[in-house]
Amino acid sequence: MMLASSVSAAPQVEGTLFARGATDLYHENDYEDRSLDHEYLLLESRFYPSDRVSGRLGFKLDRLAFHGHGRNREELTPLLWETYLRFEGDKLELTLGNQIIRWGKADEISVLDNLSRQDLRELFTLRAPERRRPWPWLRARYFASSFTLEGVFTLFPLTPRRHDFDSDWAVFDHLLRQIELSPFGQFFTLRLSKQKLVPSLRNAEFGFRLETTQGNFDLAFSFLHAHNRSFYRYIKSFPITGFSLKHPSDPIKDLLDQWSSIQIVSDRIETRVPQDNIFGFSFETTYRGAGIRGEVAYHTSRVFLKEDLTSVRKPYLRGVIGFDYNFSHGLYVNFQFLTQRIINYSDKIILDPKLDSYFFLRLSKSFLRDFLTLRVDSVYGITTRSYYLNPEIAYKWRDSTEIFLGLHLIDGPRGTFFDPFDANDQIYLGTRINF
Amino acid sequence: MRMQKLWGMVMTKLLASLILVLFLWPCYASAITAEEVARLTFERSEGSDSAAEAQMILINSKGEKRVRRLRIYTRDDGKFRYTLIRFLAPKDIAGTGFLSKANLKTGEEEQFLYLPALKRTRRIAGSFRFHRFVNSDFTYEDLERHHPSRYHHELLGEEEVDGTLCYVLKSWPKKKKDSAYSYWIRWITKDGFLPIKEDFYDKKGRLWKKFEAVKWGKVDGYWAILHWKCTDLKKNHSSHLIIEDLHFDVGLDPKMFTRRYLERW
Repeated sequence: MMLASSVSAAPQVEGTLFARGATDLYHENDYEDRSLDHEYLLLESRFYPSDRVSGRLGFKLDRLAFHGHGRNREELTPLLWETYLRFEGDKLELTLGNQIIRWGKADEISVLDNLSRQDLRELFTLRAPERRRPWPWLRARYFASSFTLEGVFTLFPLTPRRHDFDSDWAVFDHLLRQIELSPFGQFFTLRLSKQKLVPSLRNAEFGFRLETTQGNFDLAFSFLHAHNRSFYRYIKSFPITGFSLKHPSDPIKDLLDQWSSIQIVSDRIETRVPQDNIFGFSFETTYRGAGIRGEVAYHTSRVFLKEDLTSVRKPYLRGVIGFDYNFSHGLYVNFQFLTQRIINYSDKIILDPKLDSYFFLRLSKSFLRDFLTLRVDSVYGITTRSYYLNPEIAYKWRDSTEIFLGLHLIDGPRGTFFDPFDANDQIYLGTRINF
Repeated sequence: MRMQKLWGMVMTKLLASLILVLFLWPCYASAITAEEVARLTFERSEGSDSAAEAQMILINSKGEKRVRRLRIYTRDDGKFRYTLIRFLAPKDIAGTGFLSKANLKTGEEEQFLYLPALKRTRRIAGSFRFHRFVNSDFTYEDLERHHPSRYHHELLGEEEVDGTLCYVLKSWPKKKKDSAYSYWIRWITKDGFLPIKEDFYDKKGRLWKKFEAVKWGKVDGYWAILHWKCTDLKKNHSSHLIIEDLHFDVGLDPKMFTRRYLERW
């Protein structure tokens, strides 16, 4: 029997050059960023020394810069991208190294996509595939005739990449700058004391996944022992006691209102990286021309933020179901419904209600033989009545070169997840060149 | 005497019937039905498997060209027909893989798409058939072999195309939503049941696309189209699918037609 190679034997270097600049539509606050630009160069090579062994080498140079309020910040990060060795036996496959592993079967919104590092420096304004960064895993897959069993293991604790301060998308937004500019800026400063986790068995992450197909249903059950994957850090202690955050988009207002009742006990915000167990189920099928996909995740200990700006860990149940359909006239629809419930909810939790549900809708239509695409991504928070809209027009003027122009429009009532990003409406222009 | 008369009548009727059968036999033998033409076209043998390199050339109304490169593998195990397509160029689609598993008896098909950027294989629904095939004028539906049971068929007659005698077969979907077209007419070679010309009509009954086999012939003993031209009459552009280095019965490993292999990029 011949196993035809789907790739060329000689390694070739392939690359992507990406650049996107965004500027705020409104300049509402002095401390806000006015614009940002994000560029990266990705170089990758695949090699196949034999039928059984393959590998990949990847390198990325990433630059992200924020501009505004007279303080430009630039971050240039060299990253080892997907770099691994893979052994492929008849039924067993082993992969060791930096790799992007995708669990879950849902599309844009996934509750089980927890095995790659999320780049949250621009939060949800980067699409899911762009947010994923590889992570060093040992991955073993056993392909039986009726199921696939997968195991993953890493000594390196994985946490999302997100700024703490000094960006419109940071955990604490521009709190430091706001304090500095406020009347009480002279009285105190804040600094973050982060727990640093070293690679060790104690800090290891591991998981299992069983995948099977029944008829035209693909099913998967998974378990992952991981560290905190939420948007927030686990804040063990906040240096201001007696404080209660009522206006997440304007904490200084709360500080001013509560100035007489608060007490500043130190200048350090202490954070920890707690562990979490994630049980998952996902499925995928087709029915009458539509693709149907769903996921359920149960977290034993998910991190949430409280109004005193410390954190709490709660069990958390999340589910997403969606469908997609291509109409014969070229319109593509992808709809998802996400619902998430905090178990043993506490009233002190902010930004996340006890039961929170969202709709996601992607509409896209292509013209000029698919070289021109109009697309709208929208998220609507049913519980919170907040929304995120991302219309975009993309044109491939050459096979290798795409240019795109779009908007990020965000609105959320006070105290909701989208509230702190209310002032971040942007227009952006970018290009992606493949070579 | 009565017996002789009766025997004579029986013999006369038998003789008349025999003459009638002999006289009509050639007509009867050639009276193939529309359904049979559709079935024989669908069941046309392509060997146990095949492997080919192909290029798709897109030509716009200004005559500008863009080229896509792909590899196409097929396998037929008597119950299912498997197709694996791997896109190699240009870079933005390189690595994308498409796998289909068609039940030869029922026509039901499972399809999977692997997109390297998403790092996962998606099971894709029937409506994906309306998607353009790598920016070309072909859709995934156009590249299917049209399981006869899902369509109505009418034999319009016989015609010569470039000196080759063909059946002219009109087909239309039993369920309208199963196709982007209202109907299509195929010119199918009498020798080999190869559709060498196809006209596709839109939902309003207007001629939309024309497919023409620019080059066809026997490879390793099997009839195959080696150069397809598809013209979109509404948009005034065309696509050429050129099959290169085609081989049948090469002994491909069945493992190639699995999701595991699809993700091997």
